[in-house]
Amino acid sequence: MPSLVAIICIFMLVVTALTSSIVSLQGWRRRDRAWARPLSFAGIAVTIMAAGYAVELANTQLENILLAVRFQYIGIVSIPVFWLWFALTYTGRSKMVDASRHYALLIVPALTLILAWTNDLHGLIWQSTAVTVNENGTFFAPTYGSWFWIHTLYSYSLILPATGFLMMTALRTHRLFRWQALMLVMAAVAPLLGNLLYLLRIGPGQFLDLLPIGFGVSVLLVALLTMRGRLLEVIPLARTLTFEQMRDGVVVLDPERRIVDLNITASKMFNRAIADVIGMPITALLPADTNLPAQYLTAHEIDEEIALTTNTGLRWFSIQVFPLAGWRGRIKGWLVHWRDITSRRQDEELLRLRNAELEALHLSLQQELVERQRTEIALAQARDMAEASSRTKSAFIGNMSHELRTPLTSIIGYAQLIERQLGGGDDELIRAELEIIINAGRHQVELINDLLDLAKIEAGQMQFKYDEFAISLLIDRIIQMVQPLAQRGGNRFVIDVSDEVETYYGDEQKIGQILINLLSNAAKFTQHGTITLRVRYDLRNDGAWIEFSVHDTGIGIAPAFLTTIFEEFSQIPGSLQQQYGGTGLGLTICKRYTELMKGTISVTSEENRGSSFYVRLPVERDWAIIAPPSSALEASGKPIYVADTGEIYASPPSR
Amino acid sequence: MPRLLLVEDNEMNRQMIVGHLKWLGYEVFLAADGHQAVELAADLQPDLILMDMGLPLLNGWDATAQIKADPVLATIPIIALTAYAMSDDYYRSMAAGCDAFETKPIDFEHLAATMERLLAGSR
Repeated sequence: MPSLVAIICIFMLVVTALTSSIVSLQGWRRRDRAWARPLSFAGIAVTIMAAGYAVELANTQLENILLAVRFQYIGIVSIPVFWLWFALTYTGRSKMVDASRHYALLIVPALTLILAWTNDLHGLIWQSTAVTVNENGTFFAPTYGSWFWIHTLYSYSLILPATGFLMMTALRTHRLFRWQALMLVMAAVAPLLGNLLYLLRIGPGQFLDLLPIGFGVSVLLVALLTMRGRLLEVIPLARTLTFEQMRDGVVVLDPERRIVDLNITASKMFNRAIADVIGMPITALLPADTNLPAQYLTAHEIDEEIALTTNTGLRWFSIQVFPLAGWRGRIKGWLVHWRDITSRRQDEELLRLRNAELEALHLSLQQELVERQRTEIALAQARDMAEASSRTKSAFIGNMSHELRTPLTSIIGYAQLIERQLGGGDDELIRAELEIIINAGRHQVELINDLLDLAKIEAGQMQFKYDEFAISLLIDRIIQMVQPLAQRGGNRFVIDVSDEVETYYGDEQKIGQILINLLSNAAKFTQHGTITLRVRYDLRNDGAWIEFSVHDTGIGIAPAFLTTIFEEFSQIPGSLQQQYGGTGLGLTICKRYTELMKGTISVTSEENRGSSFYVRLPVERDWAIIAPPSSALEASGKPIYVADTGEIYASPPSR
Repeated sequence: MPRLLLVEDNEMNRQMIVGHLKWLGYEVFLAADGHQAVELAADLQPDLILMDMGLPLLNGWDATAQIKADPVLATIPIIALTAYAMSDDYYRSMAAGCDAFETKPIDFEHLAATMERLLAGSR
């Protein structure tokens, strides 16, 4: 009959075996995660160990006890391997030991297991096997062989680092997960604690090796953490992976500035294996040829960007050093962090260049704009000034006309008044002299008229008033004006207006001025001859034209003067000018007016036979289109109104 | 005897023109500026007005426009008699309401013909 203590121990072991088997099953169900498989295996191992131990305690026969112990060894030897495997994968260190080495770790446990089962042949595990019996029950009490100690040493050499890794992860865990961290610490230390109690014979350790129960607790805690708590299954891994795989270099220094940890990027950076530099002073990391000042790594706190020449050329780094403050602000060490910001710098540089280019472009555009605005303003000013100048000129010409005419009005007017008041007979000499004054004054007025007209044309200020007007009324006015001149030379004055010509759209006053000018010239150079004013359509040439022509049978123009006859002051020379008078500007004005009205003026002449002047003006109104063709014009009757020696024989048709 | 209102600011020319008009057989009243012209036109209601354009106080164009704006006076023919004799001045005078345009120096034969024509028309 087993004692109460034995029963309690057996009960605890059975519970451990059961929970461990459940954990194992759960772990197996989650074997898609790297750490779940070793946890599941560890669970099986603990189950075997605890079950075997329970069987051992329940038996009193040495053979049975020995069989149970040997069965236990299946678990005992494999637990450290699976535990380490779990710790490595769980804390993100799986890369430290690759898969083939995992199995290599199993060589020693396998040997131990074989030796345990074949102990009778060599006694390497147990030199002798016996049981001790006391009031608590029957206990296995062997004398251990040499291999047992190798096995023990090996087991601890696996368990201790596993514990260490788990502890580290637990300590690094954020304070928000304090309870989880505490559980992890407990899981880490539970097997060792159990073993310690057994070795020191404290508490339940007096009766029982608590190692399997410790592992059972560990496995259960871990299972609860990973399956219930969830958080720790990712965070340590994530943290570790982040640290290891981040492209930034990170070195952790202790208070003496020795390297405590560094990530893969940092180790690659200095081209040194992680294991080689742990514990070395940070300054030892620096290559001899670096231009990185040592103070960047040994400063208390730094946050700077520096350029370094590396084997891939000049590169930019952002370097940060900041102290890790511990409890009560004591310096626990430093974290050195750097990042290669060359590409960012290059981008920034590029951006800066682009910005500068844009800035320059913007500036030049602005300058161009300003320049253009300046030019526009200058142009506008010039235009305004030109316009103002033209207006001023125009006003000046108008005033000049007024001022020149006013005294001439008195001179001519008074001369004529005296002439009126003279009696007949004996005052003939005075009358002739007054006539000279009057004629000189009139000539002066003509000259003023022509000069100022021309000045106004040149200033671009001559205005044209376009309107539809009756040709017959224009002719009336012209006859009134020219009649006295024609009378003087004793000429026949013939008006020949084509039937079709009724109205014209144009500047009546200007056309009248041109025709009066031409007719005055004709009268001046014709004595006892015929002067003809002819008006007709000309549809023979391109477009529709109205043609005014003035024909005389006078002295004609010498060929030498024909070409220059429309130029200013181009008059027949010498005595002729004195004889015929005139300003020499009349034909020039006629030509300018005609051209400004988009027409042409031309002349044909034969000396001593007469001259013909043709003024052709464009017909732009719709009614011109329905004008009869030239053949009809030729065929139509031409009403002729003849003014002979001052008498008008007939009136123009519309009158 | 037709009654004329001569508006002329230049005294020398005024006397000269009055001489000619009297010789031609007209009764002549005188005004020396635009305001007088408008007042006398209303008071006298002459048969015809000879209007200088370059007048002090109120110029001839405006005076003409004022007279022509009065329905009682609108029928009085007004002849612009001016040394502003460019073609543009012709249009300006006609636009102001003048019935005819005679330039200075004055062609009295032409002026007489114009006056006769206008007086015949208004009668």
